[in-house]
Amino acid sequence: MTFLRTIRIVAAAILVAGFIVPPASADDLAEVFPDADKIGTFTGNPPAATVFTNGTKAGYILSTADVIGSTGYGGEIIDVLIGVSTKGDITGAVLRRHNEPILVIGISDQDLQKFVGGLKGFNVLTPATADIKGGNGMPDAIAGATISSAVIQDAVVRAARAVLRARAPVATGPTLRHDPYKKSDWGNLVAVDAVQNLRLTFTDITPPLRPEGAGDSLYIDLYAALLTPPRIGGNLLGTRDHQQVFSSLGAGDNAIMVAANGYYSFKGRAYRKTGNFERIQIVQGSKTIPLGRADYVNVERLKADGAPEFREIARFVLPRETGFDPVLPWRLDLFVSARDDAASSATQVFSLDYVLPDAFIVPATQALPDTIGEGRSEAPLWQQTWEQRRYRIAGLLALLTILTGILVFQDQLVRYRRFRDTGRLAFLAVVLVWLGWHAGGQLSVLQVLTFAHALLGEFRWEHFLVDPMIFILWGYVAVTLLFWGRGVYCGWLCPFGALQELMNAAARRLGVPQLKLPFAVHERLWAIKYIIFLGLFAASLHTIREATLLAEVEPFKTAITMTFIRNWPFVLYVVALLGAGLFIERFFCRYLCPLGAALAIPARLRMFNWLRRRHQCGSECQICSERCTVQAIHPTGEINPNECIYCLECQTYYVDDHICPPLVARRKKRERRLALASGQDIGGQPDSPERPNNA
Amino acid sequence: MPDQSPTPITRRRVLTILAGASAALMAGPAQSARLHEWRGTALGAEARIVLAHADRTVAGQTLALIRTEIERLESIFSLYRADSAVSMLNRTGRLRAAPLELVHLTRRALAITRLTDGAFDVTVQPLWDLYGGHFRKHPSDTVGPPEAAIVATRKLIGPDMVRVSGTGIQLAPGTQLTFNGIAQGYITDRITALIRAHGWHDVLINIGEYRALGTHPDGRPWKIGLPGGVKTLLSDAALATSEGTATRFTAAAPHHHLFDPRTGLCASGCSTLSIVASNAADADALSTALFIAPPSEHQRILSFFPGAHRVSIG
Repeated sequence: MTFLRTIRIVAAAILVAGFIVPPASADDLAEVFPDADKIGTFTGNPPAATVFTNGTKAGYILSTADVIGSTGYGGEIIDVLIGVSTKGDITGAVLRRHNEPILVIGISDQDLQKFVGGLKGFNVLTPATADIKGGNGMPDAIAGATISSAVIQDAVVRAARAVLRARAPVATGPTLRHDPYKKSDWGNLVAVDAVQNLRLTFTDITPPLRPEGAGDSLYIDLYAALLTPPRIGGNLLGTRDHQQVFSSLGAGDNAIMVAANGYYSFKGRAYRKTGNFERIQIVQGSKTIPLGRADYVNVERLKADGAPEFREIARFVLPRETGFDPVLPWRLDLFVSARDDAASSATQVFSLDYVLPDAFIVPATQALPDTIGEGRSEAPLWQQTWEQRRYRIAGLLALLTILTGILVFQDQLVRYRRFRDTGRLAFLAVVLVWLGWHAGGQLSVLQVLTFAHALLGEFRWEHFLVDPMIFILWGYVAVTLLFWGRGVYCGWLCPFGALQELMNAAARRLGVPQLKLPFAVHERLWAIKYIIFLGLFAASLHTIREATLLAEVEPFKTAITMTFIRNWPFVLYVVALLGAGLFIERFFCRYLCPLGAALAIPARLRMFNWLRRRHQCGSECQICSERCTVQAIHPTGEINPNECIYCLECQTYYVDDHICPPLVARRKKRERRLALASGQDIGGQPDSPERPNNA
Repeated sequence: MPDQSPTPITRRRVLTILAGASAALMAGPAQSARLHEWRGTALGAEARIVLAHADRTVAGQTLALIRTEIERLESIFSLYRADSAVSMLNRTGRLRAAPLELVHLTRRALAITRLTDGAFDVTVQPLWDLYGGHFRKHPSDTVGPPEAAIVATRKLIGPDMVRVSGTGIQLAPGTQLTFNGIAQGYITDRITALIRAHGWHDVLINIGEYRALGTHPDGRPWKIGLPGGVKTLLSDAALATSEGTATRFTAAAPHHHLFDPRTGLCASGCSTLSIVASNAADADALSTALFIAPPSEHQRILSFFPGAHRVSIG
């Protein structure tokens, strides 16, 4: 009792220690909120530091681990330090801590930081929280780690919302949509109203401003556009210039383009002397925004395909201090006036109204507490992943249904030669190509270890539900383990097992000789996998991260999850294992696989023993033990459930009266009796050559 | 009964915009158009905007547009707002990047000052302060400020005290501007242009001064009632009225807000005067100028403004 309690206290202490995240460094703070003038302390519930820019509250810095205790796959802590503006825009993100099993090797820390850094600019108040396919302004998920990517996105969105909800329970206005660059030509930009136009002829100008004798020729053909969205600015300025301009601007700064042809110059000359443009200004609502030389850059030509040549092109930055809001309508006022002389100081003002198309706007959200929690956007991450992967789930369920059918009707199926020859190989091909390479359904010993740790610590279904394929597979494995042993998974559902078996089948067909180890040697080599598993388990008690590194002994990640797109040492290792598998079928499964070892231990509990044997097995006949593809049948005749992969090969022999000696004897007896009865020899060759006991 | 204090402005105005959309915009015949009204304040006075349109949403959008634009122009020209561009200019004596409306209207005002030989002048604000301060201290006085003070203040007044260069405006030390004699007209013009650009063609606007576009829904020119019961027709033109008696500093003294910049004294002559001109800013400034200038000068001044004429004088 006291011993148990001690263990529990130690375990709790380890867990608590795991949750302590060091305070954020100054570099991290600057990284996640570049515009911050002043950063408060981390206080409140949920904890966050308020950030000020120019003396006003601009947003918050928070740690996802502190706010929501964010955990990754299997319940290990993930901490992302993020800055979020009061409007919900992520101003920066730094991954500070993670133990994502899948991420530790193969995906570099740079990839991961790049992915997390890519969250910058995403608005957490937009409906979808996490989309494992990318989109919504979220960076694309890391290949081979989509679930972990989704977990991180989800943690960021959820934590930022929790802080915004607690601190700023006010309605948020519409915001600029952060869609990535997409190529668009001038005609399209004009057609979608990304570029808007005001065309004046001399007839629009009234005396005394109108020169005498002026006809109806062009006075000014004026174009304006908001440059901030990459889909507009990136096309007009070119992506490089656009990135350059905006990388030097802060959040909340915007830029516009003004371009014109015709008689009248919108630039005029005064700005060179006085520093301000005297013919144009921006008006938004009741705000008047003057345009000065400091924020002006002359543009030689527009980069969008099909853009006309312009007499004048200008780019203006509208700094945040102007109060310019890119999603609200604005107008460019063009002042037409004569020279500054007493008799003709009349002025005409024309306005180019610019309304940003809806495609570039994220609509206003209502007060946070009201809407959040209603929509699907607040559904737990695992519900979203199940929803998004529903077709894969359906495919997997279909596959498992077929497999269950095979198991239930095994006695009937083993009588069909075609089942033995092609049915199983076809099933394995589907498992390898679809389940393994396409749908990401490869189990790993790491999941066993994380599960064990979760049982020791704080067990929550959500941690395991997040990847539906893995969850369903484990559920199925748990049931089949109790019914038939570990062989159902290893022999039928493991994609790497399927890869080995298919390659070995091909090798045999090509006449590659098979190596058969003496049973005594073979039996002793079995132990290796158990040692590997125990070593991993021991390492995981230290840290799961160490175990994760050691678990690279499993070739699954290289061969299946990452489809061999990995650093050469890993690929070399897998190729070596597969090469050995050409001579010794399922070499890895037999001697090395820690997952197989982990499954073999509880497989002792199996309830059914449907693999049938005769009393002659092992004593009179060695056919099965000789032909067993993984040498799981002892020379003494019994099938070792720890090693059996449930391929049903021996069961096909069991019912084959041309192979199984007792059946062969019985058939011959029957045939002889028939022949005697009819007095005729049935003649011809037997259907299957009878083989001696030691083939 | 006139207000006892000189500020805020005591002259009561009703700002009215009566506008009907063009036939193309109308959902049906004129009868189906409903009146949509907004009351509030604009430029420190009671404001009234009435729009005639069948569609409530369209009318509502236009009203919102007008209100926002009035607010924006107030934030430039209003002396009652400490944060307006004019107030800041008066406080600091200099604006580097003035709103273009202020730049252009200052230029226009200075031009009109020259054309009217100083009868209209935006630099008279120090006189207002002098008179206002005097009557606040001596509410029962009927004489007005001492002559020495008036002479000293007059030195701050005149078009040469203002320099406009590009978008920069600089005032001589002590000089202050007031656009109260022209900004209402200017705003009327800007609002007119704004709602015309949004498809309204038959419009009568009253934001201090009248401006008429097109015709009354009945097809006749717009009819404007003037002080003294006179009526005049207005079509594609603007009308402005100056009433010296409208804003007096105290009930006891005859002193009012229309100063003669050249003498520093309150103008005498007529009590009310209306001017029609091609735009409301000119009409507004001319009504002030002709109120102050001797009648013999009127024709000469009007000749500088094509289409401008006097409609009543009382």
